[in-house]
Amino acid sequence: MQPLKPEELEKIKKDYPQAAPEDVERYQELLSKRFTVDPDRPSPQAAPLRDLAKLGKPGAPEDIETELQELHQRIFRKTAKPR
Amino acid sequence: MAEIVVRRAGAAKQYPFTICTAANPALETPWNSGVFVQDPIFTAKNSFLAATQYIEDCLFGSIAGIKEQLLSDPAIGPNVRVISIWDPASAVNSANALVAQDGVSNLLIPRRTQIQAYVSSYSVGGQAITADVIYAVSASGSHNRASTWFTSDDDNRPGVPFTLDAAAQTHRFFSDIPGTIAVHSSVSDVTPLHEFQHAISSYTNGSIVDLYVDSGLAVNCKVGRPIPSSFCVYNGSTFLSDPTRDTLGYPPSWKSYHCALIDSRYPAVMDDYYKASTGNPLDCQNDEITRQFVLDRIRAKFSR
Repeated sequence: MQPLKPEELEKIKKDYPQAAPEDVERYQELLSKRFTVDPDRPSPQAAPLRDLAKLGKPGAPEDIETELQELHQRIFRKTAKPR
Repeated sequence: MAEIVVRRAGAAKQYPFTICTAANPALETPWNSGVFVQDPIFTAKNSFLAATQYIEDCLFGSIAGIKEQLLSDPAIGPNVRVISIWDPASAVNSANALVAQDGVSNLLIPRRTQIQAYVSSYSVGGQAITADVIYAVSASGSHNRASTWFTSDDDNRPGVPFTLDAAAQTHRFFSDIPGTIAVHSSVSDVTPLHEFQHAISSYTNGSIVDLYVDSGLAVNCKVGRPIPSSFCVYNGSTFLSDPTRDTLGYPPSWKSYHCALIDSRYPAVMDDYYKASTGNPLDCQNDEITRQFVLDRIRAKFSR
């Protein structure tokens, strides 16, 4: 997965000032981890999934997608501008 | 009419190691929605041709100033076949949607089974194209970030055995599904090389992962603290760890660590190449295990 360009990261910080840096880091981590699971044969990938579970991280693709949705909403939500 | 161009002939054999680029006829938007629209790439042939040229130049180390010369070795390069597919007559439907737009990011996502079927529906010299790595090139107006699925090896067919630490594995000759990449037509920097190294790696025989996040166990990534001096033992040779992650440093919260770099002044190609201290991603080279492992996978496929 292509890393975020510096200007893209700056734009996120500027446009979504409420986005917590740890949320953005976790969001990138999960986007990347999505591709480490064979989408057609998730079971042969059991070893890496177990490794993720050991680290207290999601152990199944659906867990990754659920958390990604939550992070996406949290990072990219529009806040009301002060009048 | 489809234009199938053999840009590099590769080895004269039935199954030469093959890299393919294909213009993406349709986009699924968003990913897994079942909604398909035309990809703008067919209104921009020059951008497809430029992207194909850039991908090839990046892999073969012929971009001015690029340091990583992965496929430029005279024992490697001439054996690699490169093909491009441009077929503006392809209908807009699920079968021809090689790329999806992610619903939670600006990632382009390869639809790998569709990519494999699409490419193999074309022939060169009367033989259906069998590719090892395929780039689907999109001109999406909203999504521009590349992503990749690793290769799903055919573990029922032979290969070249290797050992990684205590594990015996195999660089397989053939795949069930090749490595697939979705990339934007504006692709630049070392992105084609970064994605290629994901794509050539394997779900069952060693994966190459991103090093700019706290990744899990893989060929190029280990987990644990303190960082040991030895990163791994591959085919009997010891590879050292990178104790400092070049100039970037490991964030205190991370548990992962990486292999020693070929040039420790710059991030690895699989790390955040945009953070090279010179500001030039082309300065980045691989870490030692990534280069060795990727070249060994390619050499194994040469021998099929």
